[in-house]
Amino acid sequence: MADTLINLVRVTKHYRRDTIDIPVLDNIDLEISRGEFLALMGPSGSGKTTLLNLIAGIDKPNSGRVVIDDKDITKLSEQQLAKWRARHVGFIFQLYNLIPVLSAYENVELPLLLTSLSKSKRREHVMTALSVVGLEDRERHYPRQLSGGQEQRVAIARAIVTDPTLLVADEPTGDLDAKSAEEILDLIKRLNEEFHKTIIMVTHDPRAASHAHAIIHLEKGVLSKSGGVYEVPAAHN
Amino acid sequence: MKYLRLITKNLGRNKRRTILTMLSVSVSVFLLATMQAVIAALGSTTQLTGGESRLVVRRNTSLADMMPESYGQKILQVSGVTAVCPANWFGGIYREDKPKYMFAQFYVDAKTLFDVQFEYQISPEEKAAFQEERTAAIAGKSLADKYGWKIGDVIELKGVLWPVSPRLTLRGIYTGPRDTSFYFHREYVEEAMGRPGLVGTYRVRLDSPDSAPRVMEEIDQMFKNSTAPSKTETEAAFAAAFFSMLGNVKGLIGGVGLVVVFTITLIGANAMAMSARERFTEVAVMKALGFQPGLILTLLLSESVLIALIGGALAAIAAKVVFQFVGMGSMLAIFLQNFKITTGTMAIALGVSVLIGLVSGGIPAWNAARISIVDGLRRVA
Repeated sequence: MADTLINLVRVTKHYRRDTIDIPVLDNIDLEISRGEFLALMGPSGSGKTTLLNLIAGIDKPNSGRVVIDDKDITKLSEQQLAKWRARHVGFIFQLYNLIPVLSAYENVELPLLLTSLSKSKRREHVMTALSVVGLEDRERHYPRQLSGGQEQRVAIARAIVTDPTLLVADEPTGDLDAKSAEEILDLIKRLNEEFHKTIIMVTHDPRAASHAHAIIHLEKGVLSKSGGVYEVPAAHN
Repeated sequence: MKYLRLITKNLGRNKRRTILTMLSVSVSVFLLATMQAVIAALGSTTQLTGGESRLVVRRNTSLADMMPESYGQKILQVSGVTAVCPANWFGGIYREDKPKYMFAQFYVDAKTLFDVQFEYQISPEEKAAFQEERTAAIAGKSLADKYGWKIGDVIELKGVLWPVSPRLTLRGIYTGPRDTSFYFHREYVEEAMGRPGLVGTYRVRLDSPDSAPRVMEEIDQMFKNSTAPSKTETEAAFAAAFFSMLGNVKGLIGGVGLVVVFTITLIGANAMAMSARERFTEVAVMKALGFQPGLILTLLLSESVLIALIGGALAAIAAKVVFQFVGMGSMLAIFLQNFKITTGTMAIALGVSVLIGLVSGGIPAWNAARISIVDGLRRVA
C-alpha cells in the first residue's frame, strides 16, 4: 500500500473490570493510506471505538505498536501525546460535544487557544473553518440555538480548524435525522476529497459506511478480514 | 489572557449556583473582616502611643479599691518622676443607659493632665479655658465627632459609681493617637461628694522610659506597709491587664472566624465538585483536543478562585461601607473605639477569599484534570 499514514502492528487491548480481564482487541494488524476514507463497522462491543481511540491517541494498547506518520505514538508520554493530538487529530463525536457556554465561534476557536496564533489569525482560521461547513453566519450562536445537524457541523469545523492530518469520527450521524445525516456525510466526504483529509469513521449504519472508500469489519476484537484488505463499498465499485 | 473568556463563560454556566457560592463566600468573609477588625481594635487599645514614658499606679488589690489623695505628692518626689495626675474612672450614663452612649470618662487634675498626657494636642486657649473653669470638660476629637459635640455644648452625665451627676461644658477638643476619652475636673466631683480624697489611679510621667523599673519599684516600696499598698506598672501592662478582664476574647473571635471560613470552604468545595462532575465529558473533550491536565487544573482552579475573590471583594467593600455608616464603635462602645475596616483588613479578607477558592476548588479540579479521556467520553456515549 503506497504512502501509509497509519500502521497498527499486533495491537492488543483489554480492559480490567474488578478482577475480570475483558479482551477488546486481539492482535490487530492494519495499514491505512494517507488520504483514505475508511469506515469501521461491527456490532456493539466489537471494539470499533477502542480501535478508533488507539489510532487517535486517546487510549494506549496493552501491547503492539500504533505508528502514525512514522511516529510510534505508544511511546509518547501523556503530555507529548496531548501535543501530538492537538497538531494531528481532529475529533468528531456522535453527540457533537460542544461546550454549551461557548458560541459556535468560540467552540471552533478552542483548539487554536493551544497554539501561538494571534487573535486576528485565530479569527481568520475559525471563519475559514466555519465557511467550509457553511455556518459562517452562525458564529455568535450558542449550541442550544442550533439544530443537531448544525451542531455537528460546528463540531466538524472545530475538528478541521487546526488543519489536522487525521480526522476520527465516532458515529457522527448516530444522533441525526436522515436528512441531516446525509448532509454531514457529504461534508465529511468533501473534506476527504477536496481537502485530502484521512478519515476514519466508526458507524453502525451501512448507508453511512457507503460514503467511505473502504469498510473494515470488526468482530469480537478481530478484523473480519486480514489487515489491509478492505471491502469496497458498492458506491465505489 | 486568551483563556479568561473561557473562565468567565464557565462562571455563567449555572448562574444561580455561582451567585449562591459567591454570596456564601461573601457572608463568611464579611464576618471574618468584622472579626479581624474587632481583634485589631482590641489590640490597638493596648498599644498606646506615649505609654512607654508613663506609669500607672493603682491599688494592689483591685481597680475598684482607692488610694489616698496624699500619694500624689509622695510619688512626685521619686527621682525620675516629672509629673503626676490623679485620674478616676467615672463611668456615668450619657443620655441613655445603652452601649452606644458609653465612652471613657475620667475626672482628673486639670492642671497636670497635659503634663502627663503630653501627646494630646489642644490649642492654648481651649486648654486654659478647661483648666480655669471647674465645670469645664474636654473630649477627644473622635469622641466629639461621634456625638456631634461642639465647643460650648453642655454635657450631662448621670453618676452610677458615684452619687454625682455632673453638668459639664465642653471647653476643648484634643487630638492625639487615642482621642476617644472625656475628661473633667476632679475638684468638681470631690466637692460634690464631700471631699473623700480618694484616687483610683495615678498617671505618672517619667523623665525617661529607662527609669521605669526603678521608679515602679520605689513607688510600691514606699506604700508597701501602708493601709493602701500600690501596684505600679507601665501603661501598656495596665491596659493589657484591663482588657484581660474580657477573657480570651481574641482567641474566641479568631476561633469563630476560622470555623466560619472552614465551613464555607466545605460548601464551596461541594459546589465546585458538582460543577466539575457535570463537566467531566467536556473536560475529556478538551483533553482530547490537546489541553494538558495542568492547563485544565489551572482553568478550573481559576474559576473557583475568581468566584471566591469576587465574593470576598464584595464582602470587603460591604464591610467598609456598612461600618462607615452603622459604626461598630457605637455598638460595642468603649472597647472598640478604634474599630474600623482598614486597608490591611480588606487585604486579609481578599487573601482569605483566594485561599477559600484554592482549597475548595483544589480537589475537584485535580480530579477533573486527571480523568481518563476514554472514561470521560463514555459518560454520555
